Amino acid sequence: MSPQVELLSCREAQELVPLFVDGELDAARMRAVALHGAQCALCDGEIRQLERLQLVLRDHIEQRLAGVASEDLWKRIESKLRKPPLPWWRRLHEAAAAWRWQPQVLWPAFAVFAIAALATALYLRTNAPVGTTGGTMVAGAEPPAWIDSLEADVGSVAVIDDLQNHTTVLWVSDELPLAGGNDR
Amino acid sequence: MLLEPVPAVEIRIGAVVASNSGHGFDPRLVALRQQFHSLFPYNSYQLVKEERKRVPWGGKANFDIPGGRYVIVVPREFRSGRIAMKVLVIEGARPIVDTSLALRNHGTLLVGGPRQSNGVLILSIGADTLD
Repeated sequence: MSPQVELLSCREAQELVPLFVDGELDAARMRAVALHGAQCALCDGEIRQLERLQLVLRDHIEQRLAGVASEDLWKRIESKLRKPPLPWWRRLHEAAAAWRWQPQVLWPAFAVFAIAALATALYLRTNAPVGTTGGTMVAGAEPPAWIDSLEADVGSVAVIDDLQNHTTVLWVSDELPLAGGNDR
Repeated sequence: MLLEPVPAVEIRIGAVVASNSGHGFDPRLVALRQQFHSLFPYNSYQLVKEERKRVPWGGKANFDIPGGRYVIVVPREFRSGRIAMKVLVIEGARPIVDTSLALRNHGTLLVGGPRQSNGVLILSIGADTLD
């Protein structure tokens, strides 16, 4: 295929620089701005200046956040939060106590209900399909790379974790000439 | 005047042409020998480009790679021993890979598949935090 490189004027590039610095452009435009920056000192300077400004701002925000006494902040938030409602059995117990009635007869029934609920939870847990939670976990080991998102303008993509060698492979092609590994 | 940002991450790129023409294994690829032999069915592996760039968090490391392709790596942050980053591999105007991932510190991601000469191109992309 013949590469089609979008050539930008300085004006076009400078309009895209803020989005470029935020990594918000699509791949073609990322490349176009990066290539323009490589050939134009003025626009490259603007890119670097914005990147530096972004870093300074981030550092400043991080320093301000680090200065916040998080313990006091949490206490203040907690005091504003509504107290969670008591569970039904506690409310029943307290109501019974208020009426000077002790609901002993209810406890065996509650115990039966609790055992049934626990058994149901254990059944569901042990019968869950292995490997469906987490998506990328294989045999209890962590893959070297967690893929958060993946887009590829190709026929097929394979993600392979070679756990033994701590390597993740993205194979982009219409063919899959792979000999081993744990295919996700 | 703004200060120059301090580099926080070193991005490593290696471009390897793998093929079945010949039986050579580039000695500079010794660290990847086991991975290549267990994962790919090729006889020959030649390192055609190797480059390292140091960038701050949020900075961009741009690399030209064989075949008129282009790689942009943007390390975002370090969390739980992993480097969260965006990786773009562009061929012409076509993004052949556009991914966000969290790579283990000092770990390696291989991106392979694009046709190159008589074989395929395999990119090794690694990242190390700078202390």
